[in-house]
Formats: sequence, structure tokens, C-alpha cells
Amino acid sequence: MLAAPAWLRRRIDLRGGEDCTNADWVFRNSESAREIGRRYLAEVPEGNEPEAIESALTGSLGTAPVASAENSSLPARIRRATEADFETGRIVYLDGWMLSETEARLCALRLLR
Amino acid sequence: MFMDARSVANGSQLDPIDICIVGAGAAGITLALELAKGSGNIVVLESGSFAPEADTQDLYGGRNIGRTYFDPRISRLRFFGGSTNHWGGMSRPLDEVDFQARDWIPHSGWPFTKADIEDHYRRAQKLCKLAPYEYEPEYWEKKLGVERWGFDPSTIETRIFQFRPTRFGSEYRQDLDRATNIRVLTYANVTEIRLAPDGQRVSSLEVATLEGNRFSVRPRYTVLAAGGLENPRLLLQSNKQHGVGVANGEDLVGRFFMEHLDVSRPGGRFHFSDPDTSVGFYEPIDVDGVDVRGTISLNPEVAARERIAGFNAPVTIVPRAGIRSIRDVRTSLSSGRLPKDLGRHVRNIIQELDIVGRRTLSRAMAGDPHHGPPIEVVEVLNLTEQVPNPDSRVTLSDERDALGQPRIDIDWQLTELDKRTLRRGNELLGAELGRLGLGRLRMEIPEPPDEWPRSVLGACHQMGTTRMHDDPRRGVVDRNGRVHGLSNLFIAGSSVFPTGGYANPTLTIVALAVRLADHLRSL
Repeated sequence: MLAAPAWLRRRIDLRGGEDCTNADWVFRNSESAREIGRRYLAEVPEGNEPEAIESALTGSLGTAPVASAENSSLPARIRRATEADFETGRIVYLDGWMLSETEARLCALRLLR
Repeated sequence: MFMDARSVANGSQLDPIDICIVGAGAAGITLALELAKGSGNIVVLESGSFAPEADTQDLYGGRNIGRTYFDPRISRLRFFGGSTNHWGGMSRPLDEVDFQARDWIPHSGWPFTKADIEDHYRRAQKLCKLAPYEYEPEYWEKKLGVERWGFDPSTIETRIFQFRPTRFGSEYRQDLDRATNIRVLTYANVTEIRLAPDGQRVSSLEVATLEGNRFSVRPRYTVLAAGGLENPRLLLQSNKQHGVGVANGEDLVGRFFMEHLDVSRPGGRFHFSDPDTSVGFYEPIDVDGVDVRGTISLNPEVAARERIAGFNAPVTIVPRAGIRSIRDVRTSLSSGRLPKDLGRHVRNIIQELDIVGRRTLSRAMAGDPHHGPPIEVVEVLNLTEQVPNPDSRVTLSDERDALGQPRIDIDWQLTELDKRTLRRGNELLGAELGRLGLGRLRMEIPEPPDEWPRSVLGACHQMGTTRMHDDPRRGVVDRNGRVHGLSNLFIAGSSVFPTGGYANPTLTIVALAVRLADHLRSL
């Protein structure tokens, strides 16, 4: 299982409701992570096979295999990749939320694996 | 001194007057205060009295025939003090870039620079009873011991606003009452601006009261200071001599009606990734009766690169349920009763005991309510610039008011550039929030060319309808506020703004009135 990034804290209510509060974010709430993953796969249908997503993540996260989830450097790599995504406009909109491609793909991978 | 216009004899003409000011709102009262320092014989004509009255307020009636907009009966106030009687006091000068012509914004720019009006802004700051004329975040960071969020200043900038809703009517009533060269006539409605036979100067103003008496004034100089909707109405309805109205040979009067785009629902919302993030001055901090607040804006170079208008986003902090419950319980207990639904409040507090505890400890240790972790959601509001648009306009309607004067039709229109500014501004902010790891923005503004969200309204900031430009073919008034082609008619107030920026207009209205008073004294 992927480590929970400290900077991802809250759940996203992807069902369109107003109440997106009082809950954990992404990996602290596996249901939300799966929902983000589902939404990402629905909205970005190309190249969403697990291998393709993993390959893309490997590229954005650096040389460390994504599967090495216990690698303590992974949160830092995710944070750096996410910063780079936002800097360079690699942003996906899921139910209005602005997420980095990396974090959306991580959610998709979590759903698929 | 004050006089009731209802006591003026029907058919009479007031004594020789040097300057007549039409309207006693922020602009009119400022002009009167400044001109009281001289020796001229000044008359102020105010439609109302010292409190709202339904029949007077009804003279403001009109129709909205464009985008959804406020009822003109309620978006402004028609009594002494004008709309300062209900304004929120949000103040900031326009930015330097707002005065400049931007090639991607048609019709943008003023005929002078911000530096030309800086001293007038400083004087306006005092008249508005604000804190020191300091709008640099560095100053307030040091003074208040807070820090900006860590935005990259080459993209996102923090802008400072000051809030103090000075009611010009009550604040300055006594000063004007004591001024020996000022007469303020209440219940006095201007119904027509009459021109001399040569058409190059105003010869008289026709005045009526709701009681039925009518009289005229013949000032050497006239200043219209009746607001962004009423100034063009007065010019347009004075159409007996010239069918198109006064100063409307170029069909500019009433056009370029601008607002600030106020997204009444948040343009976006986000959660802090770190709940210990300090709110700092992004929530108002009281400084001797003036609230100081930071808002989020774009670096002007980014706006230029993106070819969008001025974007500004105040944020509102929605506190956690536990903190809200503590406040509710405290309020109830202080009034000697238990709150309704006590069980829910107790559950909220227990569930967030760690956060509530840290909040309490933080307040105790720092003695500062602006530090601590009470935050649940940060709502990103938007108050952005509307670009000048000749198709957005105020015209005369076929309906008439109680004085027999035509009412107005407001055809408020926005452009794709306005929509792109809102959307792109929020996108750039969301990307920076994400890059910093500060939070993730949930965007509420649809992507162009989708429909405008219904939540986009104006802010009762009515601007642009008698715009300023040195070229008479492109503006109604010149750089001094004098109406092109008329030697003795001037206009004050936000109707002369050729570009409105994103800052609330009152401070600029007052600064321009100070500037105009200086000019009138020099004539």
C-alpha cells in the first residue's frame, strides 16, 4: 500500500455535494482515493491501464519504482512531483477540484491495484 | 447651513451661486468640505433628507434589462450621505496598472497616472477616517506581527485593504452646517440641466420637490455628483434642447456601465493541508477601529501575459464545527440560557477536542486570535475587474417617476474577457496553492464558453457611465472632470472612471473629488 502523504489530508466529495468537510483527504480515506481514481479513469480514458499509469508515475516520481511503497522517500518524491505538476500546468479537474496529475494517477492506481 | 427646499418659493430663483453640487454622497460632501475652505458661495442640492424615506427612494426606481442586477431602488441610498450610509467601508486605491492603457483591454486607461493622484488619495484616506495610507503588505506584516502565505510573488501577490464604513452624512453634517459659505438644500431634485443658447455652458438647473414647488438655480459652475446611475440619467433626461441629452453628441453618456464582478458564492474553496497554517491578516485585524485585511491578487505581469483584467480574491475562513460550537455555547451562556441542541455542540467539541485544545492553548500563549488551528474550509471569494464595454449601458426607459422624469433601464453586459479573468485568475491561484502544498482548490467558475454562474453579481459599484478621456469622441469628461464642450459643467464620482480596477471605488471617488475641488478653486 502506498504511504499516506502528509500533505494530503482530506476527503474530496466527488458526488457533487457541498459538504466536503469533516473528513480525511485522499489516502487517509481510501474510499475517497478510490472515488478520485474512478473519476480520473472516467475523465481520462486514454492510457489508463495499470501498467501505463505506473509507467507515467515512474516517470514523474523519478527512477524509484512506484511499487516500492515502503520507500521512505516516496512522500517527498510525490510532493516534488506534485509541485512540478502545478508549476507546469499538469493539472486535472475532477468535480471542480484542481489536482496534480501525479496525485490523480496515484488514486487511479490504488483503485486498479 | 441646511435648508429645506420645500420652503423655497415656487417659481423662484436662488441668489447668485458660485458652485452648485448636485448630490450629497461621498463625492458631493467631499467637494463641499473642500470648497468650504474657500470663499465661494456654494449650494448643495440633495434629493433626500437625513434618513431614508420611501417616496424619495422610489425616485431611484428603474428596470434591469440585461444580466441579472440589483434593483436600483436598493443598490444605492438617496439621502444625505448617499450610499456611504450603507457601504461596507472596503477601501484601497487603484493600482498603477489600472491607470494605464492595456492593449489587451479595449478602452482601458486613464488620462493621468496614479502618481498624479497620489496626494489626493492621501487626503481622501483621512476623509474616509482610515488607518495610515499604507497598502504594502510588508508594512502590515511588521506592524501586526503576521506573515503572508508563501506565494511566489512573481505569480500571486497579497494586496491590502482597509475597512471602515465612514458614514459621510453623519460624520460631516455638523461641519457643513457650520460652514458659512455652504448651503445644503434637502428634498431638492434636479429635473433638468438647461444650456445657454450657444450650447456651450449650463445656464440653469431646474429643481423640484415632491411637495410640488419648483425653482431654479443659476450657478457659475455645476458639479454633478449624483452617482454612477444618476449622473447619466440627469444628462440624458435633459433633452428638451438637444434630443440626445446634454453632452451626448458622441452617444457615450450611459455607455461603459461597469461593475466589480462579485461572486456571491465562492469562486473556489480549499482546505489547508496543514491545519496549523496561520490565517494571518487574510482575515480582518482591527487596528484602532479600522480592519486591515489581505486579499489575493495576481502579479500585474502575469495578468499582462495572460491578457486578463484585474483579479482579486478575498478569502473567508469557515471555522471548524468544534470552534463554532464553542462560540455558540459561549454566546448562549452569556445571555443566561443553554443553547439549543446542546448535545450536538458537545459532540462537536469532543470530536475536535485536540484542535479546540490547541486553539485555546494558542490563544492563551500568543494572546492572538489570529493564530491557531480553527480552520475548516477557506472560501475564495472573487471581486474582480469588469473591462470597459460600450454595450453595457444605462438608458432612459419609458416609465416615469413621481416627478415626471424618465426612469432608467440598466443593460448590464459582460464579455468573454471578464469570464476568462475570473476563470484564469482562480486557476492560477489554485495552481499556486497546490504548488505550495497549502491546499487544493475546488473551482466553482465554469470554463469559458460555458454559461456564467448565476452567482456572479455586481457589488453596487456603478462606474463608467460618463467616462473620462481627453478625446471628446471617446469620453464625456476631460482629465479635470469637465464635460467636453461645456465650460462650466463638471462631473464627480465613479461615473467618470474609464477603468475600474478591482478595488472598491469609494476611496478613488473621494480622491477625485478632492482633486476636482482643487481645480475648481483655481478657476
